[in-house]
Amino acid sequence: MLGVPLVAALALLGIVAGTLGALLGIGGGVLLVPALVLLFGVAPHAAVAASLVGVVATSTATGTVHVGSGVANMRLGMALEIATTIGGMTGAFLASHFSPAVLAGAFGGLLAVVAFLLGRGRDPEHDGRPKGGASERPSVSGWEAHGALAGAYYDARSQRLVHYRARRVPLGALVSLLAGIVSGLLGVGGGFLKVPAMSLAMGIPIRVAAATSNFMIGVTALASLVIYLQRGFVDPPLVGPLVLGITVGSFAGVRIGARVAPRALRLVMAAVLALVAVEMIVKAAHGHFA
Amino acid sequence: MVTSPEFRESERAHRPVKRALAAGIVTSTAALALGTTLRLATGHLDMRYVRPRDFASPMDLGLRLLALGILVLALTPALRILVLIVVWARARDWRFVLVAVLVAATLGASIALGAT
Repeated sequence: MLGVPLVAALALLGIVAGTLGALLGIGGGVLLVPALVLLFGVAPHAAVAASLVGVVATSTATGTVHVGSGVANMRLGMALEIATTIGGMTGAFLASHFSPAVLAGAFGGLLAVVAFLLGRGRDPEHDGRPKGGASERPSVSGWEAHGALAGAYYDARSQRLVHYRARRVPLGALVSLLAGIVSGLLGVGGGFLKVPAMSLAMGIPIRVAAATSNFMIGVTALASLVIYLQRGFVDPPLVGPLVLGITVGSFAGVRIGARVAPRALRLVMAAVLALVAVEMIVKAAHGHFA
Repeated sequence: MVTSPEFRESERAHRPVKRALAAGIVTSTAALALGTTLRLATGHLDMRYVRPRDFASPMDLGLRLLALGILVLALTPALRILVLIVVWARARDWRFVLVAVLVAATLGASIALGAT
């Protein structure tokens, strides 16, 4: 039954998830789904559906900041969304056919490897070559190239214009497809796969990767959410206060993120991935994903 | 002060997308806040699953607003894709117009398959 205490608790959960999601370029679903199932006793499919709505809210809220600043590369995000939407649709259909425990354990292992690689990786923009109008501070922080998967952004901390161009796009698309499948299966945005894929495999600066991932995860989640919605797994009284909290937390996370150095972002992402990996493997082994 | 042509072009391109996203989040947030408040105020405390076709069925105003808010929020990413198709078509970036159309078509397929 809905009441003021439950509404407040859901809103608080949303604030925490939204802040974490906006800060790290992930949708917060890695926190929402287990919290809803374990703390609020929500049925798994309803928790996944609620989390997907939350992911859309995070992406939309943070998009109003990152898109306006020009750091999110919309062309890169849209190109990878071809793969993620196919994956999301596939994941939602697979949800009823595969054991969540098996998949959770397998992806937990993958996340552990990615966390290790991300924690040891270097930032591509630290090449010591200042370019462009670094002496003038523009009103927007980045731009994307016309007709290409490339762009630049102004790093306020180093006061340099950082140029980048996407490499190994097929590999990035493959990981995006996997991220979409995970999104549809487990109710997460998939950002925890997309950000390392863009940063490590495609050579995209971590700040651009995180902003672009936040831009993408809304469409990724939508591809599977429409299926959950039509099959009656969305509970509006549950989702309402949760999404309100997520919206507030997302804007707060964006403000905090602007003050964090890229290396710190990468290390925090690596730590979050490691924790999520341990959580998924342990719970899968104990049969928690029923 | 913006002096680089690339930054100015990017700002022009990003503005309609930002407005679409802002419109979606503001509208949905208002509906969700109003719906939650109404339900608490009128004593409608039951939890209930809602499908799009349930809009034709009787339901309290608070629940209807909540469902509408979720629907608006869910459609905002799709609106963003349509806006980008127009933005990139105006910029004559036909490669990425095609990319955006492919994404929209995939979402359409997802909606159609979900209804089966």
